[in-house]
Amino acid sequence: MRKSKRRLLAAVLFLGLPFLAVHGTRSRLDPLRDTPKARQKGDPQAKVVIVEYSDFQCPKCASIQPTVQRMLEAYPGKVRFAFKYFPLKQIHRNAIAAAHAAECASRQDRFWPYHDRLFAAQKEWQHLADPTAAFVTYATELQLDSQRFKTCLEDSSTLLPVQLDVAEGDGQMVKSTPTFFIGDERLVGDVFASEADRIIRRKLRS
Amino acid sequence: MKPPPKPPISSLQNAASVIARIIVGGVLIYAGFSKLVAPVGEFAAAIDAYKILPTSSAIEFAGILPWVELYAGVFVLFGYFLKTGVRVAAVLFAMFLIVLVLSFLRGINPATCGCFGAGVKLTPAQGIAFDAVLFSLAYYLWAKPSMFLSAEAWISKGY
Repeated sequence: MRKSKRRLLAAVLFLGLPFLAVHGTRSRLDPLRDTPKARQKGDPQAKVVIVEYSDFQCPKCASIQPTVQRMLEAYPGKVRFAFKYFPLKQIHRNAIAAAHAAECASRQDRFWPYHDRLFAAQKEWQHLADPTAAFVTYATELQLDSQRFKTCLEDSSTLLPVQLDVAEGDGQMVKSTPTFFIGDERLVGDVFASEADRIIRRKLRS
Repeated sequence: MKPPPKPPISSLQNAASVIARIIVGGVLIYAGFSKLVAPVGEFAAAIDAYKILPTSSAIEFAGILPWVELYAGVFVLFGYFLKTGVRVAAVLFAMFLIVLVLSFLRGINPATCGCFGAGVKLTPAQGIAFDAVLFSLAYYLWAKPSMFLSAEAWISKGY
């Protein structure tokens, strides 16, 4: 074998194979392994996976929640749903604080009730100079351990999952909320309401 | 005046180099691969626990470092771009050592060193000892380079 061919073969083996091995392994793993179970709904074996990038202070994110819920109820056992934090801090002053509070609720396995409460009460807290007291009140109402919740809010390291989701969303070119991914198909805002059903049915048939 | 010829590399030195390459390369491949297939948040949280980088940088670092480990490991193990791989490996182990020792001195003592993702959990003290051994091996490969049983030798000589 000539030297140039040996060089090419070595490049394929030592540069290409490690890359393919990592991506091959990743593709066989759970597509939602980066999202904690507390922020997932539905059957873990479901064929269709929906991911929502959302901001608790975004009015559209709040108003689309009943549609999302209807969609999940329409396909029991067939759809798996995951919530990703995507606070738009440039336009929503309390969005990061709200995501942080939701993360603290998630650490007590109460993410979904807290998520619903934040969206339902969005108008109460969105313009507050400091929404911490409101967030603690919601936690208490939902019977979370309020001392643990407060400690979590004071610990900046518990904000890491929020920042990880934002970094992941940036990598997926998410620009606005709500942005949904059904498999690899992107639906932004109201398009979810009009298109999700058709896409889910198509994915279930395939 | 001609420089004196380099002394020939003994077979013992060749064998020692291959063993050191298997250990250093194997550990780096395992460390990189196990982090790359784990949730990125796991390693980002491990970096963040050391309080050395801002969280946003910890996330970026967690995305890049495992790839550097994996390729440095492949290069060292198979002797492809061996010198580069060995230098990167030595710098990585030196960097890990500095971080672990500084954290120990600052009283930051995470439950696990984060060296291998969720695969193998070492305490920071165990991590320091392990990194010191690996750094010594990488330094040996750097100081006493041997192309014995390497891809570079195969590319240039065909055996």
